[in-house]
Amino acid sequence: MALKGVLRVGLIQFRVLDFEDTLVHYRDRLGLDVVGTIDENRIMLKGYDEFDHHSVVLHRSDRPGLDFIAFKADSAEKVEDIVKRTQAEYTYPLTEINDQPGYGTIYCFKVSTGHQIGIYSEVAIADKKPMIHNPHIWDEEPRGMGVTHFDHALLYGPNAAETVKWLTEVLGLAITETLADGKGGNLCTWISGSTRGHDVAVLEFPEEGKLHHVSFHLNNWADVGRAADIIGRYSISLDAGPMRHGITRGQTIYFFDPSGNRNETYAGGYEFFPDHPVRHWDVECAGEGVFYYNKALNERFLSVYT
Amino acid sequence: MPKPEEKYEITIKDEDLQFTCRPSQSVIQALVRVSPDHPMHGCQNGGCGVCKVRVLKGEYKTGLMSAEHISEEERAVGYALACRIYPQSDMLIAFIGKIK
Repeated sequence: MALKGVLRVGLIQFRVLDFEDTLVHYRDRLGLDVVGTIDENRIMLKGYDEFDHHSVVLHRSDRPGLDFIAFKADSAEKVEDIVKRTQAEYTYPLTEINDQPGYGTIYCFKVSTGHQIGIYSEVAIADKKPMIHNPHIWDEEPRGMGVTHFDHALLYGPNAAETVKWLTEVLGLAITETLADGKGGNLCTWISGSTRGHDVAVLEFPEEGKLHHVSFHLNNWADVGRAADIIGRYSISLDAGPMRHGITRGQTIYFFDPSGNRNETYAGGYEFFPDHPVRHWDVECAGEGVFYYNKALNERFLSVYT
Repeated sequence: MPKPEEKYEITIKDEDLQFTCRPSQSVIQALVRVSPDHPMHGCQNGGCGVCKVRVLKGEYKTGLMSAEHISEEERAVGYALACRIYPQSDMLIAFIGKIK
């Protein structure tokens, strides 16, 4: 195995206000496959190019936002090591999640930003998965935007530097890029466990446990354009784009699901390897870091989240 | 029942802003067509709370809104998220915004 330790972000559960419009959005517009239900208020989905049992859980609630996000490790020993070290060095409360079908225990810590971040190693292979014997590019042609997989999330919360320390020192993830706050620290940090430009990003923010966006991967810039066409056709609430980020170089659109959770469809960007140096952005270049063409942040980037 | 093509006049209190809105449209959907950079332009889907308003005059229906931003008690006295307000008459509303 080329990658070791923590491999990638693999599972996210977030809250939605209803299932009717929400399923149309995630299944028919983005193109995720429905895997099944956990209970009357939770539905599992996955991207067509993902092997694991499911990667997204929609949780029906009276308020949108994030329940938890979880990283996949390569072994139970690695998970045990992370749990022991966290309990020895941090005061983060631990919750064991045992009700995700196909998954073993997910060890979830409430970190300094107020988010629940989990770690697991056991997850079953999905019934509907990419072909592996003389494989076609896909078994069934992708629907809608044709998102391939859950890619990353941007989390907003306080004491971000401590959560970044935990993600890098205890989970062993790598910082790919930073955006300085102009006061000697970082406003935002992009973090990868894989070859992606980021598996998670963490932004310093006064309110705890907030979700800025959930991102899904597209294969290329042409697919980003097609996603924009679908956003236009179905009057999906558009936030920004199609455009490119300076940070990570991703080609992207931000839009909102029917409960106001921000989604992103993301393509391109560079491949990251752990020996690469960190890329740094000064705070006065935040505009082009996020919106590479416009070179200015819009009001909604900081004020709109769930 | 209002006719589908009917349009109502929406006025934002203390702002020089009036626009028309159909009953099938949310107030924000109508607003962003005339003022796309208005601070009430958020997620448009009942989640983020930046378009919190108090209805001062007029009849309306509402859709699903995050309980984090609109409580049952607030709803009963005319608070709502403008992205989930569907007018049934001319309306006068006051922009509140997200309370932090």
